[in-house]
Formats: sequence, structure tokens, C-alpha cells
Amino acid sequence: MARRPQYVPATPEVLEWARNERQMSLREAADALELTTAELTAIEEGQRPPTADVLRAMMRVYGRSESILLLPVPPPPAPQVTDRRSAGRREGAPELGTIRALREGRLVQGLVSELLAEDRELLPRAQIVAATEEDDPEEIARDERRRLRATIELQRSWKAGGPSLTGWRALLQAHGVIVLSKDIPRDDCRGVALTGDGLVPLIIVTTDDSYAGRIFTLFHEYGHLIRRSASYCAVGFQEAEELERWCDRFSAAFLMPRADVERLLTTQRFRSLEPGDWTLSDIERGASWFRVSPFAFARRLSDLGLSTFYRRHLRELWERDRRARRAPRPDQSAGVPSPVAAVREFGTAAGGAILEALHRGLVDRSEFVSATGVRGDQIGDFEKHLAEQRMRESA
Amino acid sequence: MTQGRLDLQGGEPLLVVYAIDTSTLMWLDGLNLEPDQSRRFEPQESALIWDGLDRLASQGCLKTIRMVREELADNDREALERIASHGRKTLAPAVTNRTRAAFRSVVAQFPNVINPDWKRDPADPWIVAYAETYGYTVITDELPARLHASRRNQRRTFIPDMCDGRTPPVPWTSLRDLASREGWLPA
Repeated sequence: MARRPQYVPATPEVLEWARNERQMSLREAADALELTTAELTAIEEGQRPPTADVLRAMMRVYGRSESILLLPVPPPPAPQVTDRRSAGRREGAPELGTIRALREGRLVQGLVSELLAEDRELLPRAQIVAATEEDDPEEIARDERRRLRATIELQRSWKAGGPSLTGWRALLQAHGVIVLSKDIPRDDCRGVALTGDGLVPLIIVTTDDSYAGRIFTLFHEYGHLIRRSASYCAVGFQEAEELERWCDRFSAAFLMPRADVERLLTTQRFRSLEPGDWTLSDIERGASWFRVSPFAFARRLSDLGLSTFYRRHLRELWERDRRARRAPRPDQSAGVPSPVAAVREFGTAAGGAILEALHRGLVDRSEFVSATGVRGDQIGDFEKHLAEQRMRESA
Repeated sequence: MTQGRLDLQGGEPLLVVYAIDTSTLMWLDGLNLEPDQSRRFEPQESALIWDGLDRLASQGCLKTIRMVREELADNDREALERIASHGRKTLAPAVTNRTRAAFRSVVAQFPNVINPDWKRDPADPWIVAYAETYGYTVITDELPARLHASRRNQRRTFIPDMCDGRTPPVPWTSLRDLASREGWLPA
């Protein structure tokens, strides 16, 4: 005898919300759930409840737990962020991976901000200068380098690649900025800045990029924090473009201060070069000196009127940059134990603050596990790797 | 029959069945610590209380819900194995529409106990829903929000808050109180 279907009490609007969050059309979702579009429409319009089997299928297809699908009302919408920096300068809604990273970033930001309200010593207080489009990014970058004590000697003391990214990240974290590293699809979003009243400033940088690309993104997003631009939720296209250009100029000026570029050009290798003489090898040498990408260095020289290489070889540089992003990276998370991956993802600032809050009883283990993804029996390993990372950063 | 598991209501003996919460077992095993890093239960006390829990479990009077077992698998495997050694009688029934309805009612009343970004089912509202559905008494060492020192925790909702806030209230007890009542600990 056929088993009678068991219908489940679920709110139709919640099921529709879960499908939309997954960015699936009715047809796509119905196919994945092995329903007809009409059947799924009937469920979402409340004409009939889902069966237990359909609810289980929804859990799998929508990537949500039963608890979430049984919520009596849909959760409030996630805050909109318009300042993502994408490789492809995409318009429109972010991809699923970007949305997930944004939500997780907001979760960490909210948690750490609450913890800081409780205990100010968990993280240094961020004192980020505020600027508008009227302010010269060159001057702001120069002042910020001074304030952060980011000397050129310090910058040059870091090896190119991972150590350089670690160094810059540690510097910002030491000044109260949380930097998360997340696997966001690079063509959709390379980085995000999240700010707001009473919230600790937070930057997310994709892992799906070259180290030099990530470093540039880090300071592009830092530029957004300076412009307080995560609150620009309804900016027009022109305004957004102005903002993006400002942040690009800030990042370039921060990583390659004009005075240091000019000083480099007085050294033997470069001193005889006219603006039209630069070769790719010269560009690579200069980029390596600042630990940035050839693309970024060539563009900086162009903006400063010191080389025409960028304008002459733009496509070549762009292709090179894309290839660099696509190259396999040694720090892919596959196979990496979760405590190690979590330390990489959360960094020493957020990871350390949440761990300290756990020790002080401000969060319990289940909250810690939810926020970090580290299993309860791996907290000791997380602590150990965090201590090792702190030592690397202080070195 | 074990003294203490019989409540006398109107002269009729009533068998009390308990549902235990994850963090309580972790406090018991010294995996959750107080802010000053001390244990809530000394190892000798833990051993005696575990003996008492074993007796409850062997009599089918100690239940764990699926969500608690999942949390224990990640956080306190020894506790999970010890309870599971008593067999299926320690398992609360699978989720039914009655528990689902109770769960929906609990999270409608206490929306901050669940976060839409959590990937796993949170055990706390489910344990209250189960207790409401099957008449369990919840064993939890969580404190009600008003008794927390931290302002953040004062704004949160803990299992005792949910239990006390339901109509009618869901009975709950701390593990230490239970151990005292049952005579598991020396006076």
C-alpha cells in the first residue's frame, strides 16, 4: 500500500524566500525538487503545504536547515552593499558566493561589535580618517601611511606574495580593522567594505585572486572605509564610478607613494628611462620593488606621468593580470584542516576577539562554532594556529 | 523506583522524563569553563552525576534530541557515546508535525534564538519544543538572561527564558539541583 504523504506546516513566504536567496527561478527550483512548476507555485502561494519529502528536498536544494524552512516569517533582508569591487565591473545582483560572504561578514561584524561594546580591550579602537570626493586621495594616502606607521622599509621587509599580504593585513588589524579572507567568485567581487554606526569596520578580500591583486583590493576597500561608503546604499551609477576611481587612486597612492616612486626612479636601473622607454622587464622590476602587480605599477607610473607603458600595453597587462588570478595558488583551502582555514579566513583580529570572548564567557561554544565553523573539539587547535599566526605577523 | 523521579501531583505518581541540553553535558565534562577558567563541576562530582544520569538513561528517563546529539558529536563525543551506550531508549522521537508546530511557536515568540545564516538546526528552541510536545523536563545549566553579568547576554534568550516564557511554562531544572534532589551528590 502506498504511503500517505505527510504534509508539513511551513510558511509559503519562507519557502519562496529560501528559493530567492538561492537565486533560483521557479522552473529551476521545481526541476531540482522534481516537482512541476505548477506544484511549486501552489506550495509557494499557500494553496497546499509541502510534504515532508519535499521539505527534505528543499533543505538539500536551497542549502537551508529544517529550522530555517520552518520559520514562521521570512528573515529580514540582508543589508545591501553597493561597494563591491569586481574584476569584471559587474552590474546587478551579486552571485550566491558573494551574498554568502556578505552575510557571514555581517554576522562576524555584528558579533565582534557587540563584544567590543562589552569589552573595549578585545580589539584596538579603529580611528579611520573620513574623506569626501573633494579630498585628494594622494594626500589622504600619505597621511594614512604616516598614521599607520607604514614605512617603505616595513613594506620592503615583507617578501612578495603571501608574506606581504599577511603584513598589510596585520597592520590594518592592529589598528582595529577586521580583515576577512573569503572564497568569493573573483569575477563577481574581489572585495567588500562594511561599515556603519557602532560597527567595527570590516573588509572582506577574496582568496580567488593573486596576492598582489588582493593587496590592492585590501587598500581599495580601505579607501571605501575612509569614504564611509558602505552606507551609500542608493548611489547612482556616476557617483559609484567616482567612488571606485577615488578608491583605486587611494590604493595606488597608499601602496606606491609618489615620493618613493620618484626616489626609485633616481636609482641606476631607472634613472635614464624616458616615459616611452619602459619595457615589461622594467615594469616588473618596479612592481616587485613595491610588492604590487605590474598592472598596478604601470598604471601608477602612467597616472604620475612617468611612463607611457600602461597606455601602450594595456591589453597585454590586463591579460597578464587575469592569468595571474587564474593561476593555482598554494593556499587553496581544499584539504586544509578547519582550524587552519578558519585562522586564515578570520585573521588574528576577528578570530582573536571571538576566541577571547569565548574565554571570558561572552559567547558560548555553540555561538563560537556557528560564527567560525570550527568544531568544538578543534577550539584548542584553532587557538594554537592563531598564536602561530600572531607570531608570524609580529615577525 | 528511584526516589526523586516521582513527582506527586494530586497523589498520583508521575514519571518524570528529562531532555538534556548540550552545554550542560559540556559543563559537566569540564569542556565549558567559567570566565575564570574554573570548572563548574569538580571531577569527583562529575563522576557521581554521570552515574546518576546513567541510571536515568537505563530506565528510559533521559532523552536526547537529534540536534543535541549532533552538537555533542562535534563538542563532547564521550558524553554522546556514554548516553548512546544505553541504546535507543535515550533517543527522543524523530521530528513530527507536533514538534514542528511547537518549534514554530517557540521561534515566533523568541525570534532571536535562531539566525538565518546558521547551517545547522539550533538545539535550544527544539529542546523546548520537544519538552512542550512530550512533557519532558529540560535539564539545562544555562542561566536565565537576567542573571547574566554581561549586558550582551542580558539581551539574549536562553533555554530557561524560553521555558519560563511559554504558556504553560515548560519545566526545567539545573543539573546540580537535579543531582541534589536525586541524592546523587553527598549532602
